[in-house]
Amino acid sequence: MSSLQFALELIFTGLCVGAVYSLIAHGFNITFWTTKVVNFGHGPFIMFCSMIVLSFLMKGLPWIVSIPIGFAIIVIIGLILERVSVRPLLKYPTSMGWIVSTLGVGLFLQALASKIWGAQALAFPPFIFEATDYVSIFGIRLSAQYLLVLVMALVIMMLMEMVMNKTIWGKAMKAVAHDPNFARVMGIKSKIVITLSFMISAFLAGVAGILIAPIYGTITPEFGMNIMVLGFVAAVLGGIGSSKGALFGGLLLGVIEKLVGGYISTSAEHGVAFLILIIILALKPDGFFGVKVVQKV
Amino acid sequence: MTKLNSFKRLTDSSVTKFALFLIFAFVPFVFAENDVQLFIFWGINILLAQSINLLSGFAGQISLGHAAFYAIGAYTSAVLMTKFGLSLVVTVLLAALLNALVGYLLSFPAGRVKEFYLAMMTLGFGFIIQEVAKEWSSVTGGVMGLSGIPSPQLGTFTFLGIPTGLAYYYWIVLVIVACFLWMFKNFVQSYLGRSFLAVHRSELSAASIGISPKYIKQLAYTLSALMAGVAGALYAHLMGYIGSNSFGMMQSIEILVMGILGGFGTIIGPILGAGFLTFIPNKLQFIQEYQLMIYALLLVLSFLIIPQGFAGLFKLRTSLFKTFKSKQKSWESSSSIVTKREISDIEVNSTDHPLLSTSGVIKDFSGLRALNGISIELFRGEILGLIGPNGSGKSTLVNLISGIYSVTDGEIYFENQKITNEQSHLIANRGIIRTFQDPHNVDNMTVRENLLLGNHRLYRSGILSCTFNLKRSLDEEQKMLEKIDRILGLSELTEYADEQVGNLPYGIQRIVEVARAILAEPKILLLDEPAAGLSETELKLLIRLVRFVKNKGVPVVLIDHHMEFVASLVDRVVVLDSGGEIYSGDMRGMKQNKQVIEAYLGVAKHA
Repeated sequence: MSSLQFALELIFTGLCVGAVYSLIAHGFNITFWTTKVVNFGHGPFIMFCSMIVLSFLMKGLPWIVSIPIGFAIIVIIGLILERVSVRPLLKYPTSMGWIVSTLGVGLFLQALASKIWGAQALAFPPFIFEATDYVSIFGIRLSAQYLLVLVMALVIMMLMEMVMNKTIWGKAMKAVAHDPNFARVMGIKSKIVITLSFMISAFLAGVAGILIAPIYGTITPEFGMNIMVLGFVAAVLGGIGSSKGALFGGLLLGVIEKLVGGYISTSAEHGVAFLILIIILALKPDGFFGVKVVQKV
Repeated sequence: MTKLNSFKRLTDSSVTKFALFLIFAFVPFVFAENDVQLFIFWGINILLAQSINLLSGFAGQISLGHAAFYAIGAYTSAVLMTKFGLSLVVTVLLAALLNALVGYLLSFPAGRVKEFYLAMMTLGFGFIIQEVAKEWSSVTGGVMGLSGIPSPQLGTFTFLGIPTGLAYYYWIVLVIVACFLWMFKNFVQSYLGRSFLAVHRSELSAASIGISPKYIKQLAYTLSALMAGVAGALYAHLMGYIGSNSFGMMQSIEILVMGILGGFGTIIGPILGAGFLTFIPNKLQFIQEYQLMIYALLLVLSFLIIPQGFAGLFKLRTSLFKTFKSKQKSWESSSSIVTKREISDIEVNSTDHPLLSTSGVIKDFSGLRALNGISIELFRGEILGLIGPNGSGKSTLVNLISGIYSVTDGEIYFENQKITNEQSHLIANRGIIRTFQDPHNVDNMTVRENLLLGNHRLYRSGILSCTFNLKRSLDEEQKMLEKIDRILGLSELTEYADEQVGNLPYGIQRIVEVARAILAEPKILLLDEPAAGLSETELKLLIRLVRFVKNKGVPVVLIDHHMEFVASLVDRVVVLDSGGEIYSGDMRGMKQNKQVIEAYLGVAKHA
């Protein structure tokens, strides 16, 4: 295999993994728009949904049944999170309350998952394609599973974008994001929109979980927290609150990670991502597409 | 009330503390080995809990990766002892210093971000350090961990050449923890400790009284990391083995729970929190099984049910200043001295040169021009009224002078020096002190403590002097407290002195903020709508305070809509409209000025 081929393959796998990071970043963005809240339980949501789906699959249920059940459960958990950890704590001036509380919900799910399914890694079966299936383009072997993840992640993000821009709910959400009080005056039920945003965010976490699990091959109760920080890096890289930024940041992070993994060391992959987080926050906290916030006195 | 006071006096007295220390010293004679070990863990956890308390509870910088500091301390001390055979005294010291360095370096990226960005960054920092511990196997032993560390439990530990058992190790830990708590208390009750809380409440308002938020955060990270490092070193030698699994995210969360559950921002709280998390899981077996879930639930619920933790539940508040036994002089006698000095001040200061001047100052907010070439001059001893309709740029001008906004174009001079776009805490330290449209006090501090914050820029003693209660710092604190008493009397706040500002009526809060600004001994005082929402009596009080400042020869810039109030004080007014100056001169002339009437005062038939 030529070195160019090697590099292209790394970039391809980077894009696929990165697409999932983008989905996670989108999940952060949606609640950030409506409440300026970032759900610190997002990672365990990702893990929990894939765990539920896996456990139903192992009971012999088909994909087509298991996945909707997983989504339904995670969306309900998203609703509970908003009621318990966000709504009562938004009135405090500091963010420490909801950060700690949403993190608590996430850790609870993580502990619950270890109780139910054990702390060891569980094998997650490949989805639709076999792990060995591949497509060959210009002599580069692209794993069919990876390609599927990339395409699905992109399609879901496009759908989300359409929902946000074309439907009345999407417009309501943007209005609440812009000014919740004004939106209420205009007859938009801000509270429902906020709740909805947390449910959609949880749904996106679920999607990310089901897409990333076949790529990882095995899942553990802890994998959610790690990947959540990666998704956050993607969101920050692109600029929190920007859809374009989430897509770009996720793909960029995925590619950087895989290149580091391929040329330096696979164990350095995640470490580099965390380093990027610290550097980007220190140098340009509003990311590439973020909007600078004017300090109000 | 009296019961509470006597209880407080009892717990504050050094005799009680010494007695407690002695009782704890007897622990190894009374309890079995297992329990002694638990007490040692409590000590280590107290250091950890106070470490995060200093960073998150006092300075308001959330940390979700605190186990990273703990890990660095543990590995440093373990490696130094096993590979180089150094004594515990040296390894603990080096571990603490290395950690302080790491904390200091982390403060640079971390100091630039806030809230959830910071939370995520510290989470990532925790992951990085754990990854390093896992991968750098030549030093840390990788996933296998580091074993063979001299440990009192295995009888392999020596301290100063003497073989040391668990009981001796317990005493070492006890002395270290007691020393740290003593230093922690001294530090928190100094001007530095108070400035931590000021930065926590609002970096903006902290800077407005001369506190550098950047410096405070550096200090917070450095000291917090240092304490966690000592805890890590003590842990490594207690266990005799450390592995990267001991320093994962769950450890960070445990540290956080200790602080939150105990009560951030107090001294006793984290001690209780650490005790709770040390003894309860160990004594109740079923808790051990569901430990993680219970911690998670504590995180979810503690903010909802007991937002101030155990300390809040039992109403245990740590006062933020040092009390002195000697009775202070009554303020009447000293205020007469003040008046004498004021008179001489005016004579010395009367010159024709402006103290502050702006020339052609322009401020754009992304396309919107808020100020269009404003030039004003401010002379010693005068009160300048700045008036105009809402949105005319009055507050913007004050924000530019105090360095909160950056100037788009034009210059600002103070005492013949250019101060354009200087950082706001530096401007405050030059003596330009301001108040805000809504009071920017620290709500969970008492009136007295808030007023002490005003004095911040006058303190000269260093960190060590504050931490070790050296005479210099004690004298200084006492002097400042006397000044506070004087102003308390002048502003009729004495009866509220020891109440938390957040619980007081709005009008009182405003007076507190003005009094705080006066205590900063300003060379220029900028008051942004101080009269808004004040009652008639409070208004009179405010007028008295402003006159007090003027009598000292200090010029005041006064923004307000209350025309009678403005008229009763000002020597000169400048009227702004849509970012431009439309009038400058005395009050009488303003009332007849056509442009002013149209833009602001209103025409008779409309009224």
